[in-house]
Amino acid sequence: METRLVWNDWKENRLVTVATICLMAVSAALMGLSVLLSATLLTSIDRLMETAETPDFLQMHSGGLDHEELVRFAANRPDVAQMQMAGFLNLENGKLSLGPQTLADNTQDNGLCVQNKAFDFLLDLEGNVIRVSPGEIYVPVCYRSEYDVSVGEALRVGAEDLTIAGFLRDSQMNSMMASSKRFLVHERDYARLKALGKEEYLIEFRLHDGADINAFATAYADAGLPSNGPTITRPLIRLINALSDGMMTLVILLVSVVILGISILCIRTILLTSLEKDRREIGMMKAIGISRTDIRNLYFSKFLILSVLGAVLGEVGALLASVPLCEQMKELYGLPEHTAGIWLLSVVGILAVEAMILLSVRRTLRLTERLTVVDALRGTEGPGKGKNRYLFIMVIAAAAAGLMLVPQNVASTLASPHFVSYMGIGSSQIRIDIRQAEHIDEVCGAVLAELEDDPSVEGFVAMETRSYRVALDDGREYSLLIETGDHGTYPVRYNEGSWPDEEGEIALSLLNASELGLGIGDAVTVRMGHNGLEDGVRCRVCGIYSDITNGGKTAKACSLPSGDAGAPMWCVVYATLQEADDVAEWVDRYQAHVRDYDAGVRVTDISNYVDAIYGQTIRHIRNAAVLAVGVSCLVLATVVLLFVRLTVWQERTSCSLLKALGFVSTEIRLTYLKQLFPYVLGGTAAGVCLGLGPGQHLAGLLLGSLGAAGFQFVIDPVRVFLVIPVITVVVAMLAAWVSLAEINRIRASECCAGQE
Amino acid sequence: MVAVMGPSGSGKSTLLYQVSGMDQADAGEVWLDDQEIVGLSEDDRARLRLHQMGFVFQQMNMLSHLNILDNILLPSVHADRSRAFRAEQTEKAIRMMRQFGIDGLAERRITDVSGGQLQRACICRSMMLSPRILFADEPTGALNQAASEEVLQAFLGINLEGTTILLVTHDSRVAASCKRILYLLDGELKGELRLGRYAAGERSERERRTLAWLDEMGW
Repeated sequence: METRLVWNDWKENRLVTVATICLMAVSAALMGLSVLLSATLLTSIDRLMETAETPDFLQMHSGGLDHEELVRFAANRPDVAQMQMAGFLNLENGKLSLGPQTLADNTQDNGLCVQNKAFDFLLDLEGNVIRVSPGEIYVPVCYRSEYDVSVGEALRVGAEDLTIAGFLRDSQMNSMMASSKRFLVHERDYARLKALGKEEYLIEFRLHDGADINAFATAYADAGLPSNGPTITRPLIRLINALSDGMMTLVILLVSVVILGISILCIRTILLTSLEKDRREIGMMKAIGISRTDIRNLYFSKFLILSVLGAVLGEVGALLASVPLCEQMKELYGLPEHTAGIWLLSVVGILAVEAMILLSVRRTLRLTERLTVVDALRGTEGPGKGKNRYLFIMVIAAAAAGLMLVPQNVASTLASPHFVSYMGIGSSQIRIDIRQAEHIDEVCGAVLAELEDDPSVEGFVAMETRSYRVALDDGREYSLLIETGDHGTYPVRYNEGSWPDEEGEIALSLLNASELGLGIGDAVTVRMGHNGLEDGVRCRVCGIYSDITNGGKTAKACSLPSGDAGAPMWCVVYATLQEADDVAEWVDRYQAHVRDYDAGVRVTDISNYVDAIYGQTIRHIRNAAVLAVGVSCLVLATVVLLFVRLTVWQERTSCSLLKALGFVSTEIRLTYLKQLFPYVLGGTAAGVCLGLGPGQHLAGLLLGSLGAAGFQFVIDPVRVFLVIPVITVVVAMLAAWVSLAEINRIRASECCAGQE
Repeated sequence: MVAVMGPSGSGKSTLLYQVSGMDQADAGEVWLDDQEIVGLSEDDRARLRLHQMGFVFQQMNMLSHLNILDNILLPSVHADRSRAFRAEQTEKAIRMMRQFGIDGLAERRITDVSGGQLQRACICRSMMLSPRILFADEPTGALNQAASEEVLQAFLGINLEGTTILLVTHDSRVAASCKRILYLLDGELKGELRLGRYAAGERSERERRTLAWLDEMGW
């Protein structure tokens, strides 16, 4: 009988039933999708890093090094399991061509390497350690779709053609957020092509399980071993791998949490309305002696069955949506190890969502206990009556508008040219890197002289980076990459304080500041030689900024004597042009010019640079933003459809009375629309404010994971103030109009006939 | 069969709710045989209502998503969930429906039958667990004369079979069929008319006496 009761209830309240299933399914699907994506991403990355035997500690170094010294250091450290030195032949991008396309515009540091002997293996797409033959080359898998190349085609290095034998997964540098890419060649080819580029070294260590990586990093720095380049640790590699796809997952998670909240609210209101409508029936059941528990269970069973349906639909939805969204992850990181486990985990996520909804249903059903038999039979007001339903629609409109807005704003912020200033890159139009030249300072001087003479250049500054030893007052010493130059012209974004504009000031990246435990006003001594502190320069910390370049550990000073640091490791010139529209053409022209002039100069259009690093992430977040718009519209339409229908049910007698008095259905429907409009409009406005206020903080937490601390939205005003509000209002009003069609079915005589 | 009469607001329904344990009394005592019900918990009172009492209301409260037969079986299903009991009760329900002249309506929805038929179905439901006492609150209040007569005949039949009936009514014809009539005014018992057991031939005489007494009471 219960089954028949539930089934008939659904049949007669199709809209409410469909809306409830829809809300349960969407909440479940989004949560399931978040779980699927994050578990797939993390397990794929872990599997890749495990198979490839990724190093725990990695020191990039350019310049000469003493191999024996490194071996001695490793032998004396009980925490070191393995050590190796891997060569990386950094090539000028113009010397590489994939098929007909040159990599000259590529913003990555591309180079050749050979397969490692002990660990840090480069893997093929099946996860096997690649054995490469002479004349063959393996290309990073991320270039497969970007350059549309396939196996068997030729890759030109300088004047020599190598055959693409396959694609490789590099556990360290797979992500576009890692700034270097390794191409794998045979040792013989590597030796022959060595003259084409500048060889750098990756000094890599595998530590025993449980070893403290940070303690090892400090010991390495203290030992004064080669450190002319960024230091990278295994957690950082994992983070960089996870970031580009992880951002999308986090956005979807954020959306799923908001949708779950909306669903719980909606289902609670559906239940309250249903209890209100069934008040007399509940009273009758109580009167004839059916127990409170039985009545509660009767209602609960309706939602329990719906939640099972919602969970099944949600799981199917999550699985379907995960196929295109996981494609990129699978390409970059390979298949995860435990697909069944991941699937189970998503089921657990979905069950948790349904459990939360059912818990709320159970709590709401307690209200039936407060309703006494006498109240029910006499028609005294029951639970949930008298509340303004339009206020609820206002809240939902606000949530929907906010939900559409935040991912859009995250995407437009990331896509903005100014976003780089959160990442430790000056907000100019052009960046010129001088890294591999023989005499960096001379080349840099020549470039600056040319810029000076170029009438199209509006302004420029040069920054030189050197590695310095820095001593803290408590005696600790660190190796620090310090960039000197004018930091005020194209400043990066400072979370605290400001850029160094006089001698004796230093600004630290967020990672360095937290690792060294320094804040604004603290002092450090930058050593100029290894003779002692008396040769050092005292610097006060004047600013802290976010940075993702060079492993996130950098520092900036106005000027410092080079001391022992010698010639700069690299030099970066930032420039802007008189006419912003000319940037792409100027960059092409100047790149062609410096190609003849020196191999180590790379000219980058900053907007291309941003696209190269964040393009993938931005595309993913745009996908998530489109998903958010779709889901928000669906939920908003469902909720409005439902609540307008519930309102009409409750006000059926009044509607009937209006009809009896001579009003036509359209007039009554328009009256409802007019009542609803200010609430939808107010809700939308509130949603925009919420999206820009608290939504910005929430997105700040997400972007903080990218290193962009203390960020502010860069908004697209047309989308924020026009497109999204219009979508919200139109969807809500259309849904209301459709739902109000119920009024057409109300007869004028109903008001005279009474309730039964 | 006892009728409770009185003007609106005199406390008729309140009395019914108190004695049936639907409402918790603040003071006084209510005894059903040797059981005092005022002190019982809500769940105990619900059990008592399910197994020992039957109810018929003015508005034919039935679950709109069940057909007539399922509505009649509702208390039985909640009293005992065994298949055997269910089968036995279904048979009984069909027998009772036949007895009250609604045997063709088992599968009908509650909106597809007349008020009189629905009220007789409610009487069937109230009798399913063979209650000791049946409470009826304005059972003919929403019915036309013919339907009222059908319901009245049903009550008389039940009473004849030994079930006590306490009904609240405004209908003097219904009241005239009862053994006793209590008259309430402002929450107090103002008078009592003892008519004796109903017999078919005395109907008009009982009605005359009742109207005269009600006139005396200020009806």
